[in-house]
Amino acid sequence: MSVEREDLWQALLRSGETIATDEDYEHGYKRDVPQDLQQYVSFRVSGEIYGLPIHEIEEISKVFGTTHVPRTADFLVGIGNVRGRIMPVVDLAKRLRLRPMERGRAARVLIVHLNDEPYGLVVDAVIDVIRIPPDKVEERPGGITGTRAEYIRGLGRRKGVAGPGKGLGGAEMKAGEEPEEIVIILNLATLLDPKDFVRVGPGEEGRG
Amino acid sequence: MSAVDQNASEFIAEAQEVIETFSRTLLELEAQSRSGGADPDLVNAAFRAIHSLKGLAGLFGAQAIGGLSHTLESTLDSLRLGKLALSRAVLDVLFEAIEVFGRLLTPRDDPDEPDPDIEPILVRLRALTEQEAPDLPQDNLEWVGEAILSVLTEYEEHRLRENIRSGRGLYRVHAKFDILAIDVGIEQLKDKMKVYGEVITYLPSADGSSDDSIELDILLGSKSSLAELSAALAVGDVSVHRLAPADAPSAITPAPPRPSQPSTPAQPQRIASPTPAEPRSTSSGHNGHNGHNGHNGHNGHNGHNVVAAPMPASSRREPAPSLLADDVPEGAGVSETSLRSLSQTVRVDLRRLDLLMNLVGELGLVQNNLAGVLEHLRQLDRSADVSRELQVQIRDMTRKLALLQQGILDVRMVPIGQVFDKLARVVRKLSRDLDKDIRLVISGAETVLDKLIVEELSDPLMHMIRNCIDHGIEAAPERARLGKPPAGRIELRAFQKGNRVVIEVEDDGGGIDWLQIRDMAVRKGQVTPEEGVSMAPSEAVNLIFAPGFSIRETATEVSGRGVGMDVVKTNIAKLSGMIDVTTEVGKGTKFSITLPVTLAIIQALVIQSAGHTFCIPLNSVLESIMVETREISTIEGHEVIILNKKTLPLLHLSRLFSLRPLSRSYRDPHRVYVVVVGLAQHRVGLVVDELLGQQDVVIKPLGSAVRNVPGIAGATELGANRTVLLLDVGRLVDEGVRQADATVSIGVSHVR
Repeated sequence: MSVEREDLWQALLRSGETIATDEDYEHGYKRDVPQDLQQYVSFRVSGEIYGLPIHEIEEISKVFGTTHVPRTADFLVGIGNVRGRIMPVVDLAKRLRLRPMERGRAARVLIVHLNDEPYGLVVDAVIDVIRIPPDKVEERPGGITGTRAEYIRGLGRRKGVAGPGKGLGGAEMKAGEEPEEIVIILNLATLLDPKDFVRVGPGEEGRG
Repeated sequence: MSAVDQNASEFIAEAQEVIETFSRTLLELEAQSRSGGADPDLVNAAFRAIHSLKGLAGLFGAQAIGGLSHTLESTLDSLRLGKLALSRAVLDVLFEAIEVFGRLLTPRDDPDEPDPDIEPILVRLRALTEQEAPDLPQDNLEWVGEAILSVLTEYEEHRLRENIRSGRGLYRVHAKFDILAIDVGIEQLKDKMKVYGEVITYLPSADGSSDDSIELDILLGSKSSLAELSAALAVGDVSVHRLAPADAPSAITPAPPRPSQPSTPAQPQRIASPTPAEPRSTSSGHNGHNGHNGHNGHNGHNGHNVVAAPMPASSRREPAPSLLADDVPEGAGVSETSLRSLSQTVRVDLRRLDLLMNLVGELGLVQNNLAGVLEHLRQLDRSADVSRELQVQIRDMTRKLALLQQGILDVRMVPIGQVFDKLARVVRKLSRDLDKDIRLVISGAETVLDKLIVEELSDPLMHMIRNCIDHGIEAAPERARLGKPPAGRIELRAFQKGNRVVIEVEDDGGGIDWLQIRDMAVRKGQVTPEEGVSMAPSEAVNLIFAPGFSIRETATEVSGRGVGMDVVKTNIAKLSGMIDVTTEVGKGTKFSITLPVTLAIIQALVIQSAGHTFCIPLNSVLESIMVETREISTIEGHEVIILNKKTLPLLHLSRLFSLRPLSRSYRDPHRVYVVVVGLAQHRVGLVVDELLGQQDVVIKPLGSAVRNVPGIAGATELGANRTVLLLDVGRLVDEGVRQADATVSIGVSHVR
């Protein structure tokens, strides 16, 4: 049993509402997730499926207006303001150097927190919440090399039937219409490394 | 924070306050002792401060502090009783005690770490008391009258003897006050009496104190004659009588009853009725009033002293008599330690205030939104009444909100005297270390600034003061040769100027020799020899703000090695302040720092460039002008205009930030707007498309990701959830100057 669907969460996510409940607000989003039942929010960026541990996500918001910040990396859309909190909003496709795709109405901003500071991540669509036991997460992304590798914490799998020899054990899986897909679990600390935000070089080459 | 921590931090804060008072008093005393006799009131104030500290330490179980204050209290007691003379050596030890208190109050990371050793300072303090002057032969005081003597405290008796010894006459001033107006009455009387001599004590009078009036006898030591005093004081219900030994000329019987009040026998009885051994608790009611009176009188005195840095008479002690029983200068209440908190202030974490400030900012947004709704409503004919009512309510809310904002801002305000006090100690120590006699003259210590700014100011000011003493003020022989007074003079001034505060540090030292600076910079390779030749004096002097610059070839312990003025400049710039230097060789140097009053809410100029909106802190905007494009000339590729006969380098914000045009805003090709900004000692013109107006904005910090973007200082909201960036003027000016420096020597001539 490695993958489970969370219907309630899914319903919430699909509706584009926030995941955070009133209770979460009261408790300051400090949600305890049992180690053996790690939940991940999965989402789509430029056709690939990514995941983030649910406790790193505060809220899922519709796309909101941002203010462009000069002299910053191109993956920074700008800074946004959610209920009085100023946060940088990052275009994940650009950050991961993927081919950007036209965003539709399904686009969302994941509001995540790193070191007690909020950040917004723009994704093409949020899919659902999945559970992956820690031992079923591949620690090292073998096939992926280059700079992207440092943003990846591990690989999980979602949906579909696990084929034998896939390394996820052959336990009973729910059959889905789609084939099994790899969920790339991101590492927020490297993804949102402050030193990458500032465009370097005092020379300031023009770009507009 | 646990209850224990809370207690500890409360204790530390209160203790620090007391020690600061003590330190201030000592500095004042030192100044007085140099120019003659020390005010006994001040010695007594110092004693009281340490006495309170002892009580405080006892309450919180702070043993080391308690021990030190106990010993210190004995020393101060000897001082105020005249058993010990207030010498320089004594002051040294007292100041050292302040340093030890400082160390004791510094929180330690490891709770098991032992307190700093206080034994050495205790030994030195005890040594002082041991060398006390032997008791002088006691004059016979019997003539004063048992009734009076029996109620005097040891201190009062000492003051009485001192007065007699110094040849002053002793007078009994009898006064009757209306019970409702006694506070004011006593105060006025005391102010008058202070001119003529020293108030030794207040004695409650037994004479027919009726329900609606209180009568007092005040013991006054004065050189003036009875006639003079009577003329000055004996108005209305006040009469003056001379007390003198029986063999003295113009003798008058001690404590003669006033003919109009025949109840003489009652007087000694009433006065002496409480246990004579505890005279302090005699008359808490009267003394309560006196205490209040004494306190105010003392403050008033502080206010006029230029050397010390008095806090403004704040609301720390309300004039409620019952609260003041142990604040009596005459020594009353000394034996009791009150459980009351010594101050009536509430200490609040600045972060909490920031939170409140943010909330107010949010409310401002809600208010803006409401105004939007109102606008909407107005367009619907049917709801004219409703919209009118809404408008009234919104206006009311706007007003209250502004008050609330101001209120929170005011809470953050503290007098700059807090820093000046620390500096006074630095001056004292350094002048001793370097063997230079230096007078520090402080004014404007009551000027208030945001707590955050005051905190951030202490280091830059310390650097500047050190520079003044180390580099500025010449050694005494040199000064003598130049015909200057032997003692160097440093003036520390603060004053409000519009919505900014100006702080000036001025010395009467050797000034800054621009040629020397220029040559030094050339030798160190900071400027090329060619640049050096064409350099104006003002530019050369400004080189002291360049990183790594130091006038001395070798670093001294005092001024370090060239990490002085550039750090000062950076720190001041961080506070959106400007620093100017004016200097004259041989005459002295003056640094002026101009600062905003607060950083939390600032006035901003809202501008637009290529359709992007930005805010510029108004306090760094010198002026905004419209410039015809033909006025702009180019020097080696850099645009400049001539403004007030000075060359002003121009920076195009859109180019600087590589802004992509957002909207097709109309731009007049023949004119541009130039916002002249200045920070520290440089001025630059920012070219923008449009000026949208001024606005009060609440500054929000950017997260760690965007914080370090050069040229951006923060963000703010401009209604309807619109986030707008705040420019870091200091940084932009720096960039402009660097860019200009390569080719143009910019005309910044704020150095005279």
